[in-house]
Amino acid sequence: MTKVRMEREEAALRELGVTRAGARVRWLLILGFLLTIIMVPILQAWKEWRLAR
Amino acid sequence: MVFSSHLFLFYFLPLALGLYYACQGAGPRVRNLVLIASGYAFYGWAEPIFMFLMFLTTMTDWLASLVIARKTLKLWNFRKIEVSYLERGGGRSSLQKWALLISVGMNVGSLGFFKYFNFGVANYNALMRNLGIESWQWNTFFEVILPLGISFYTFQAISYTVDVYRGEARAMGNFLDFSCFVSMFPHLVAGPILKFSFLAKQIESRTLTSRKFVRGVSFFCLGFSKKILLANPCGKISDLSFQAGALPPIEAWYGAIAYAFQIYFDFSAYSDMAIGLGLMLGFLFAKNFDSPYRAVSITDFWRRWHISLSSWLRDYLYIPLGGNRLGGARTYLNLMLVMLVGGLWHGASWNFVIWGGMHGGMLALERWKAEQALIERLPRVMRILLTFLLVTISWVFFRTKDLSSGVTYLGSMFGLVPSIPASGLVAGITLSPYYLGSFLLAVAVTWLCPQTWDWTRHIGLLKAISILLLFWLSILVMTGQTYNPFIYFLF
Repeated sequence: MTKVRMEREEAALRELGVTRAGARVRWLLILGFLLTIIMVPILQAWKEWRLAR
Repeated sequence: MVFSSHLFLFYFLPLALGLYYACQGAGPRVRNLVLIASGYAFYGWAEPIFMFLMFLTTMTDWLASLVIARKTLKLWNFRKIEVSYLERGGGRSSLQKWALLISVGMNVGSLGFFKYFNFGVANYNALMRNLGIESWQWNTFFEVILPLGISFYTFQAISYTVDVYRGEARAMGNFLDFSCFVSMFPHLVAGPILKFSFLAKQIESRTLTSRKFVRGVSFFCLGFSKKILLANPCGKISDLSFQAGALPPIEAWYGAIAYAFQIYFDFSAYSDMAIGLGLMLGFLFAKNFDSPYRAVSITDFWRRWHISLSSWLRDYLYIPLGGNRLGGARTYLNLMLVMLVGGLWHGASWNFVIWGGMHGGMLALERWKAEQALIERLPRVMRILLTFLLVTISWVFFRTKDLSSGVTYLGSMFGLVPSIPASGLVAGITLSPYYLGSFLLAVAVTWLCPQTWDWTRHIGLLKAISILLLFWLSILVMTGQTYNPFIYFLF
């Protein structure tokens, strides 16, 4: 691989790690995502427990 | 385990992320250990036995790279010799050449055995049968099972030893670091095929930031939505159409185009999710899709489709074969060879060879005609449309199981084959509002919407809400979907 191509690809990679987003938006997305993947199975289990009763 | 499954999304991912971030203060090596453990659990979930194969491959490649880097077979001296870059373009000893050969040979050999053994035996037996010497047939008492993702991780492992040999990367002194490169779950079973030279520094040290995490969440949610809301319904349309075999031309084209969308959204969605998961874990992975159906030629298409595979084939096969430096005829031959290997890489079937051959032929033709070609004089929109149609026709062979069904389906697309009596029933389902709506949405996303890569560069409140709403909608749809395959898992 040529050095120029390598540098270009590395620059594209570095760009990926940067997002322009305000702190509130960042936390909304992070919490929204994490709460979803954590709460869905808990709510599902709770629903099944309620039905079983 | 599939990214778009309950098991991964609601059990594996929270646990893996929780453990990973719990070790945040413990340094990169401990985090690598968590990644290795989660990678092996992810990989071994369906077939635990293949974890040993992955471990064996990893260990052999690591030892081979150390022999190449340290120029000695004395393993007990490894700790005393500092690992550094080899001189680029410099001479290599026969020991180093042997170490490279063993590593590449073992990877290619295991890929060849697990992927092509059954295919080879079936073809050999068919040949013997046709020659009338049935007694020479080989009746194996076993069938080789294809280990998940073997095509992806063997290519990555090859890139490692070759990069070390060429002096483009430094060998990893620590086995855990190298093991982390191979077994990291985001890219383990369906890519992107990551080049070692790009990941080496990140494995040794990387930062975890909320900006990376938030972009990772966006990539993952958008990829997940593409998979559930676009790839799966388009997959259902194409499955019904291809299973019918011969349909009226318009419906046959509808099915073929639906397959073109299915494979694109399926695989690019997987890549988006992999990039997103990588970002959540602090890694930066390279782009794998760059709006391939907006390509203006087949050459352009291969710069945009499965970029990690095409650049791997370019760097480790096309250029070593001589690339375009050895004259016209040799360039066309190299293009054809690379595309045939690329086709066969997807699976052990003559249809993949035909698909690769078609693309190799079209690439050679484009290079031969270059600027004088008629297509160069067409308006941009027409060139995009023509490229898309050629790609869609080639997908027919990719999708069908054997040559005769591929030819039959292609014949029905051009009105050369009478359609089956039940074609009205197929159209009744595939043209229902849900499937037709999903198909039209796929058209709009393919040609009108910005890429995930660009769209997530700046995230405002509206975008954040849209991303979460799409994610929740996709989860709701996923719970009701029974159809959820991942095409590239089979490769």
